[in-house]
Amino acid sequence: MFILTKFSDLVQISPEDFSKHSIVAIEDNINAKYANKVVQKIGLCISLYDVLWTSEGLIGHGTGLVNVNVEFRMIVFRPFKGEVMLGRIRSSTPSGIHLRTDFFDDIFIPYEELPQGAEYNHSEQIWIWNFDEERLFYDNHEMVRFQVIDEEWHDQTPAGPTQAEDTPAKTPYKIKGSMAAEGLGVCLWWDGA
Amino acid sequence: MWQLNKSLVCLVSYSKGKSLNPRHCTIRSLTATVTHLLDFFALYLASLCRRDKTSYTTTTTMKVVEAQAAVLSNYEVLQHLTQQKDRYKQRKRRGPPNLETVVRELIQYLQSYPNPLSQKPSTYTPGCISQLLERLSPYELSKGEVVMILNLRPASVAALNTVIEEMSERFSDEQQEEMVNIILEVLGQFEAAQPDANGNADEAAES
Repeated sequence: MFILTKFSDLVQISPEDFSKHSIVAIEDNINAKYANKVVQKIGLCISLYDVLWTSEGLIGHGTGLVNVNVEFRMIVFRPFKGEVMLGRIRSSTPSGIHLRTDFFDDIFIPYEELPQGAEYNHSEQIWIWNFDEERLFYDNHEMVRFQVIDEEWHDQTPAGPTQAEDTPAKTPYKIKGSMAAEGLGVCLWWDGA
Repeated sequence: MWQLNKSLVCLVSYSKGKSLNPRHCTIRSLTATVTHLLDFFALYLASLCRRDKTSYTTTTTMKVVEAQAAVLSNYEVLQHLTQQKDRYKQRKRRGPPNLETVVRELIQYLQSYPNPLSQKPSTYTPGCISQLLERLSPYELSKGEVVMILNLRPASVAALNTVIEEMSERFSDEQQEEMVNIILEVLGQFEAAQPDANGNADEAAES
């Protein structure tokens, strides 16, 4: 579910941070820039793991910023294809079920990836799995197990004047999952004997 | 660079009057060589300036050196985050707000039932990963499968089936049982005997 990614970047320490130890200032700088943000084709950055190398601090012309080149490793959320994970049901629509984890909201299970016999109940707006005469409910906020089958990336860099003003921003990183296989779906069905 | 050297050689040999090739001795070829040379200097200077600029300014210097340097299990991530949290507490200060948010949410996710890390006291120890790897090595599981076992701690053959691909074809029934037992021994399990611990967790999950 989590990987380490090695980055190299320029860290600029502003004069008000000079009272901190350099390593603390660098750490804070990197975390402020990366934590809780998606890097395209890499994943959702969580936190700095360790600093591998730093250059000397250099002060350029014009500003009092100290420039340091740093090589470091980040903890990144990037589940691999086929990985089984836990998540919670956020909402259900006829097209499928939206899941979330506490820190990541964009997980979608399309209706084709639900087990055979699943149907959508329009009045209650939930999916129901008809299994051996039994009706099993995909209730909201229920903990489910799902398998990652695909991922979608949308670069959010502005496209310039050609971009229409009101186009809604697409989520930068979206996971597509499946709950069709045995053992997947609401945890209580399988664990609670 | 090679071309630059060549024109330099031409120029030097001409100025010393030693050039034997009459083609190089005409005025036209000399001016051509000089402009050629000047062009090269201009290009070289420009490239120097450019290099200078990128090493100081702009914020788009992020470079991915290695997209996947290692895989971490949930336990290792939780370990790192709790240590980091303690460090901040000791220094009596907070991290950047975006870091605080994601760390709080992630710890909450990792410590909610039925995630095995929600169990208190924790059954995971720093040595349990290498121990599990060693004991599962005869079954030749893939790296991803072992990571999932560590993260989800499947407690039954049915649960193991979701984690291991084509399990019934790769392993006999006895082998499957053995693997479940190894996981139980090394990583522990939720105490089914204590109804209040499990019951509470179930209620929490339902509410």
